[in-house]
Amino acid sequence: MGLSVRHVSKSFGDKKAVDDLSFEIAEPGVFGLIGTNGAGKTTTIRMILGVTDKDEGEITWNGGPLNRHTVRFGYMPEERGIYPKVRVIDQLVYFGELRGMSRRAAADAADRWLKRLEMAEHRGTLAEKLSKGNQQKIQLIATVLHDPELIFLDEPFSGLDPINVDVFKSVLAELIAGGRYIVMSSHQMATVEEYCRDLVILSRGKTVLQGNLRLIKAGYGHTNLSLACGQDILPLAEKHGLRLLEKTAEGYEFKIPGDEAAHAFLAELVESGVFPDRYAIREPSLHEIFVEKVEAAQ
Amino acid sequence: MKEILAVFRFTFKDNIRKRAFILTTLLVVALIVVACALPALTGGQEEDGGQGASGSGTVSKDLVCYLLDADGVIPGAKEALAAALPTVDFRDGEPAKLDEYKQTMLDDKSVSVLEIAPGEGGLPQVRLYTADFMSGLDASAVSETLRALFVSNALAQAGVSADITQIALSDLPVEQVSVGKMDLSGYVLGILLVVIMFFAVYYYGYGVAMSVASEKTSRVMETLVVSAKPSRILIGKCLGMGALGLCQLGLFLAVGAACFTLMVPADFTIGGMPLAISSFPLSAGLLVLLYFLLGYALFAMVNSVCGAMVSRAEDLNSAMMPAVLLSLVCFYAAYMVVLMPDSGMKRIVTYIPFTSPFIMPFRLLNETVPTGDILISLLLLVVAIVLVSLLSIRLYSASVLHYGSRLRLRDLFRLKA
Repeated sequence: MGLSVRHVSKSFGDKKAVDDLSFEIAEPGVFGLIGTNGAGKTTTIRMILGVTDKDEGEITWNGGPLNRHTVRFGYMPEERGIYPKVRVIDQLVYFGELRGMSRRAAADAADRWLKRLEMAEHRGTLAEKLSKGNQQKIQLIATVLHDPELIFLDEPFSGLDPINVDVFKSVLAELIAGGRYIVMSSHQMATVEEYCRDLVILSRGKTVLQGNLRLIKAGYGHTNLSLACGQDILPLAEKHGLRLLEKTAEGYEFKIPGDEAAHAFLAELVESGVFPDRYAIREPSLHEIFVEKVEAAQ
Repeated sequence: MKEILAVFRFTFKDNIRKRAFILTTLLVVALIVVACALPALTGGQEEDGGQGASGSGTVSKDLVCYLLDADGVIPGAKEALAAALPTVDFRDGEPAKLDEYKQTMLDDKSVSVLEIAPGEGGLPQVRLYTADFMSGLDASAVSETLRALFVSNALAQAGVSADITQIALSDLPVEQVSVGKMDLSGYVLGILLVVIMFFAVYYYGYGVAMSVASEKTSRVMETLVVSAKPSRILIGKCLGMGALGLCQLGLFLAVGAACFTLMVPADFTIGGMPLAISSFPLSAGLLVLLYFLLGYALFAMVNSVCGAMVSRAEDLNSAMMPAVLLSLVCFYAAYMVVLMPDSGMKRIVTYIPFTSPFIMPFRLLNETVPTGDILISLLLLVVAIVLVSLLSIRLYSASVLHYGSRLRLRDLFRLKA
């Protein structure tokens, strides 16, 4: 049954922050809540968490009401918030207690997670003395400390260095493997593509696209050609009706009219003695779909 | 309940470790010790270094006084003064050298000159020369000694016996007995409690507001309100700060009581009236404690909303202005009643929930307050706390997740969580 959001709306004064939003997360996994700034993502999360009242609609967990008593949820907000002048272990135990854990259980879980994220030596450190990445790790521990079933991650990888991104990804993989329901909000489309099975794209409170990501992309068909090659091949590409989307240090990204045109283009490249390092006909990226849908909606 | 306890414990621990709290506590304890030591220190100084009479033994003479009484206007003046002021070395001076003595005085402030000359109407004219008003002989002691001697001589010349003269020169003892409950101890302690109440309302209430504001500033509020109901966070926070305040004030009172008992002389008086802290009934003490707790709770709830109205800690002072003004007005209203205990304001100030915590401790220590007054005032106070708490929780819940410009009060009422 999982999480169900049906026809939910919320207005602040004259401004409609969320307009008739519906989606369902029936199975454990990662669900993407995507949108531009001010699209209504945070308001949606707050309504699900019960800290903001909805004007209309229904939000349920396993068919019943969703609240602190019916489900353990964890929330990592986009604006990271920890007590700067409190020791790491003290605030983690505090957050654990607030979520119903005993002092002992919270302290044990905090120590376990600190060790897991290689933060054990910072156990007694004031949070303000930690680097930004380490503060983010504390925030992550505070989110998952009490073993939540439903987890909200708002921009989980923002501001992290590549090493810490890998650490966070490994934790995310563990949570997915552990059968958690995860709602992820992010502007990093590559991350969403990597983890989200289903998603909803919001623009100014309205839903502009939703469903299974694989099916959405499949619905677009093969629209792009990604080609890694050092030579100037643009005249030949234009001849076959390929439109340049992006030229990078690695190669080219083309919009193609169809698979046949891409095949003919490749054949002529090879004939003329140009052998690309990589040649891939693919569906549009989530980034492209997002931009297309949001621009159309606005 | 578990959430409230968790917030309570965290707030208490977080604030008791703060440097500002520790320094304030140590400073106030030091002030209490010094204040209690003052009577003993002052008394000691008089005994050791003063000019007055002392016990037996050798007395060092720190001051020199040249006595100019060539005509013998008051016979025996030198001996009488030497007996009354044993630390002063009285020497016979020469009137012709007055200017020389004055010059000496400018260089050595321990030197004085006492000039006695015939005056008008049969009274002698006495002049005391000192370097300045703070040095040299104590004029009142000189005056008292010479007056007694002069009167005694005059009465002896008139044939009055020595016994009668002795009685005539004695002070007439007057003992003041208070029939009512108000005495100096109750009055002083009552005023002290009014001030302590204001201090508690301001200082610990500010602590609640600052705690809420800093949680918004550090954005930890978003995590908090998801973890626990805002009402429980607010109640736990107010209880935590209240317990902290109670512990701190308890420490101050304990230190004060211990120092008072150990350091203040048993016969210490202010204006001739003794101070005693053991004369108050336990019931009055418990009611004072109850008013303190309820008063703090009422103002803490008001202050918490001020903390929730701001997004930056720097804006807190201006946001707290209405709450500070409210507590100031209530404090002064109570103080007016303290100054004018029989005014018609007393009953009004007793019943108004925001002022009763200030005035009731004073009244309980200084008069027999009618039970009806106590019950009505407590009932109104509890009702006010419930109403203000409900309103504060509603406003707090609506505003804790508001970031950006500072909310005005009317914005708060419009906000819906």
